[in-house]
Amino acid sequence: MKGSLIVIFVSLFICQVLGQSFAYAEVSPAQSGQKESKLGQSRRPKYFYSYFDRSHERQESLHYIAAVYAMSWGFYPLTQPKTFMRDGSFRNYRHNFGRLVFDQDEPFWNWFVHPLSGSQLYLFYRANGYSRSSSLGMSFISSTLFEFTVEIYSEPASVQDLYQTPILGAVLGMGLEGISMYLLNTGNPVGKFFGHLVNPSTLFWFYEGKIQLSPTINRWGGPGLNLYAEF
Amino acid sequence: MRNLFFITLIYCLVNMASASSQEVPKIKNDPAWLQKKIEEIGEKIKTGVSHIEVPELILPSKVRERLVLRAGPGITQRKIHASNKTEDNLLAGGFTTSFTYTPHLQWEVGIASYIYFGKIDRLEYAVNGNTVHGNGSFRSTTFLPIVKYITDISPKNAWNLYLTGGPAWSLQSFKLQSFIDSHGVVRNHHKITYESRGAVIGFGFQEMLMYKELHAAYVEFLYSYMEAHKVNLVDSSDFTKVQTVSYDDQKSPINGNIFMLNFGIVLF
Repeated sequence: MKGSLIVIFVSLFICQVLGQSFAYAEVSPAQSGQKESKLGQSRRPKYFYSYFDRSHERQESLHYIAAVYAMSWGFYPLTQPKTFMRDGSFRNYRHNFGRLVFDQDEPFWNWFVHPLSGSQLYLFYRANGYSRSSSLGMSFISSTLFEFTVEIYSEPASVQDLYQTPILGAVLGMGLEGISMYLLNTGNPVGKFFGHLVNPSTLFWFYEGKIQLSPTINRWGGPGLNLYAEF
Repeated sequence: MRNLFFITLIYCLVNMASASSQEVPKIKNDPAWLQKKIEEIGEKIKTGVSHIEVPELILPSKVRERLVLRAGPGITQRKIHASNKTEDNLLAGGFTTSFTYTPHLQWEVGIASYIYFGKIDRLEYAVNGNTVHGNGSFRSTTFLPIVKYITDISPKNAWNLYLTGGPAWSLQSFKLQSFIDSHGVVRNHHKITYESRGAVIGFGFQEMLMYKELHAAYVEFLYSYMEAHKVNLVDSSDFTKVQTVSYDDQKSPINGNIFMLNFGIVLF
């Protein structure tokens, strides 16, 4: 467990350092003077995946924070139903409100789950056009709100989570960003699949408009959601 | 008190969110200014920058350029003192990160974290009347607000000496063997955690480069003195929900002297 964590962090760190160079090191056959095969033509990427940082109005930033905050209220009970049902209560919420402790959690949570969620938050904001520093800042705001106003339903806010979710999340997110951009730009369907898998924010409408989600009413009159996805 | 803390927190977060948007100004519609920026980018390419972000061309942002995330591996050497005069010399590896803001060319302020993990030999602890033996894995997580002063002393070209430090909070965990508690019950899958307070001071050398995209490197040597103020005996048999079995408030220098050697690069 510990060994694999070290391997993951070291590999991502190396990928992060090298990522920029190998992501931009491809040379097309036309440039190298070779004749391109049919397979090569079919594998030639249609789009060049990258991130373009842009300006954001204050209202837009607040919308993103509100959206992530609303999602965290949905995701928390869904991803940790046992903890939510067993330890969660509004009495605990009142008791934990404003408390900050060192949690005693296992490394699996503090060094893997929280940085992983932080990395996806970071990549969400990157996909929405925030720069790296701004993405880290926005992840910090979102994870702090989660710690102080959502997770306290079952446990007090933790020092480790407050720091490690955005900071280790950004380090991990940078590694995943480099890997996913490299894989997406290979033009290879398997590469694209894994590129989207490690960086799911690249699938959503705010990045390339390939997924649409719309509300619907089914034939029995119940509410539902239509999901349209294009690969 | 808590409400005041919470109101302050929300106020700070909202201001941070707005600052995040304000740091990116509108695109300038000035051909002369744009031409100057393009020339600057050309200079950057000549100096070997491999990746240039689009906003640098059209949206210079002072706040963003002053925020720096650093990360890298590190090693620590410390002597762990436990009960009954048992002690162990630990050499452990780990991972360090820091996120700082540069208000002045020679000053940086921010937060840092040092995570180390290693192996310990047989040590003996006493918690609330239980004598327990610890061996196996050791983990340490330290957080601190840091201040860094970068001096003009440069023993090697573009490598400057800096001094750093700050108050520190730390949590150290030791995996335990099975043991018999004060009620005569055999317990497995437990760990002891020490919450400690102290301070970190040190010095290091960092590359002084003009742009973050050049990923300046650093190496630092730190010394830390920590005193434990709370020891917990924790049942970790269910990894989804750890439970504190008992705790003691105590003041003992279980990790008196800690030495750390860290190195890494600027990520962004």
